[in-house]
Amino acid sequence: MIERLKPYLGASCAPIALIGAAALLIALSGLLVLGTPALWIEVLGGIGLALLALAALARPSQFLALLSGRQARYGGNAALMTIALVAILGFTNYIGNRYHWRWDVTEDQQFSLSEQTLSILNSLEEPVHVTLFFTPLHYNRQQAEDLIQEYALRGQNLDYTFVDPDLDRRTALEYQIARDGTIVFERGDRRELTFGVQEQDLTSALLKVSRDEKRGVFFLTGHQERDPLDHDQLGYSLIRQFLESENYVVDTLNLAATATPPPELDVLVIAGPQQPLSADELARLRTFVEQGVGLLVLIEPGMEDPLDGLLRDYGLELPDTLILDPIRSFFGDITAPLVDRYEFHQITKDMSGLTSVFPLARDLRLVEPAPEEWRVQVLAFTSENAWAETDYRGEQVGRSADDLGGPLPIAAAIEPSDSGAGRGRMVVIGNVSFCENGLLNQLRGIGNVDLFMNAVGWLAEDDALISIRPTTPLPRQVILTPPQARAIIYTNILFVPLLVLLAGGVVWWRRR
Amino acid sequence: MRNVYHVARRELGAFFVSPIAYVVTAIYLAVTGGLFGFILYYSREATLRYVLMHGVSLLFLVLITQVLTMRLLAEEQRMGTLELLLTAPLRDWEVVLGKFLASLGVFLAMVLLTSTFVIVLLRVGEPDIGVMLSGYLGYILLGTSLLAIGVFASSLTQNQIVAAVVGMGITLILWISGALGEFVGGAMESIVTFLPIFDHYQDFARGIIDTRDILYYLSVTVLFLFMSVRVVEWRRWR
Repeated sequence: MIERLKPYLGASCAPIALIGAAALLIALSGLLVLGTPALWIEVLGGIGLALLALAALARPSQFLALLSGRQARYGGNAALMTIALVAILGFTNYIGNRYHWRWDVTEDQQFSLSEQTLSILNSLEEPVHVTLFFTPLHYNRQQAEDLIQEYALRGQNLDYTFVDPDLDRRTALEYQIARDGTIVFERGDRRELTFGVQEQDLTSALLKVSRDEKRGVFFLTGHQERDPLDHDQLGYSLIRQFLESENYVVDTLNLAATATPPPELDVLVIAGPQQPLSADELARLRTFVEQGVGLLVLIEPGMEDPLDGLLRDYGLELPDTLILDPIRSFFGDITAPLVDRYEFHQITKDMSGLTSVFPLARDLRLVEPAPEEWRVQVLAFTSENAWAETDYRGEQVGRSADDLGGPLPIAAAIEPSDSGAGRGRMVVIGNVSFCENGLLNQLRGIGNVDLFMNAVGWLAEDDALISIRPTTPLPRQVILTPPQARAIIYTNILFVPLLVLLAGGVVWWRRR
Repeated sequence: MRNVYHVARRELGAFFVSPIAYVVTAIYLAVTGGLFGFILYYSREATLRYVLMHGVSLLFLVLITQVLTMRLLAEEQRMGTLELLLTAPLRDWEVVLGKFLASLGVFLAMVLLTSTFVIVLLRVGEPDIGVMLSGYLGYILLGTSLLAIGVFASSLTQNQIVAAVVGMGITLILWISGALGEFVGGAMESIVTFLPIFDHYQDFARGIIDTRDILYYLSVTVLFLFMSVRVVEWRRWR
């Protein structure tokens, strides 16, 4: 049949080949754009191939000449060899990527992850995605990138993307990012945020997001404490919701009925007992702490220490006072001191710029001398103008000589001084109403919830994390005096290049 | 190998008697030196990392390497001397390798002159020696790859300018190819994101030596030199 068609085809051979090539090209482009083969692509590709074949059959001699010419032979040969080399190199790199060595040659092993982090990364069973919201010029971006790269390399199930929250507003909104420098760890529908760029911060967030076992936060009952189930103004049901949204199990516990800490108990919250705890209960509390339960103690004014000096052994005393602050108080209510500067601690390190309000607060006193076994760190002080009013029930309040003046500690964290001893941590806050429903409903955007949640997070922290200490890079600081700087810049911009040009000039001169 | 040596020597000689090597080196040192001085002054950190990784210095490295290599094979073709060279008792690969090594020699000399930065850092601060050495190792590997790309571009054409532009084009495509990763998806994604030529340099600059990065640069160098040899061979039969 071809023989009979040949005369007709002969003349239009070139256009047929051209159309065939065009059809094939369109089909290939379609495949690239769509990403998946579609029917029309296959049909078009088929037509293109058929037309090309037809053209080849019509002018077999020309076609053969095209393929077998010397140039084509060498060209084709070269192309074939190049493809073979690409395949070999590709395979080598593939193998090389799977089995590779990596040396951290920095003097202080800056990029070497700790054993704990590596074991967590190795045990990841589901993919964890990390989204880092950083504007390009953020001061921590480089450090975050350095570190997360190592995580992604060591953990097969972890990958990451950087998002510029200024450019990609949609993603930032979707993740409700309020701050440049937020890092979001994500597994399934679970998310965990961190703002720190130390290994400890990232591993802590990674552990939280990858762990299915829930941490238990129990509220003490039996002494008219605030109730996590109470939806009333004085209740703590909003805090319960915050805790549950961060994957904690919330429950209650009565010390009179519980001799040993239940296995799921990680943090015990004592939220404003109105009756003193009995000696037996206090003894049980002590053993809880010895066994590693974290204690969050919230105490308000109006009674002597309901824990009967229990905290004295750990380094804190709770006198019955009311903090009054005429200057730095919440909208002029002198009984509601506010705090917007925090001491540096893991609990407060991300809270700069947030205001916390403590209506009806009492102050904490550090025991002198401090107990050796425990380390007490104040988290927040009142202003210098505040004082601790002892006679607050009197008709007229005013600062008297025996009232202690500010700055007064209002929140403190206690931990064993030899870290990793396995005993519980404690956080004590001289206030209860700062997290009650009424206040949280009324005031938005304050730091009260952050303080509570960070404290719980710190108390419930894994022992594994406690031992990861941040590595501080060795200081490489250089302070140049202006003449030094000028000397360096001029030497490098002018003198050295001029020297090179001079050498070139000499060579040119001698050759002339 | 003796032939390679002779070609490289002849080419190196040609480099150093022509003004081009001196001008290129002087400008290179002025630009990177200025960058070094300003970054040191403002960052107050005794490190070369920011200088070597700076976008300006990377872009400049692309320009320099292409300028160094654009002449190598294109000029010979234009003058018609490539035929002479090819009829001499020399293999094609000896010519290509020799010329490549000559450009590498000039490049190494330029890099050696930046050791003034190291001297300055050692005088005014306590830089991390390991990071500086790995940074230089990566820089040299990167430069080697870029030179091989330049040699290949030079083999394609008789025109030096075209050669330089083609070389830059290949490099820039390799530079931005990673961005395609999101579009292609699937298995192609891991291939495409592996290609960007500067990504493999980041670890070196930070103080990490990874065999994957070394392998990548050696692969790029070998591939482009191999293709240059094939092109030269092909021209012989045209």
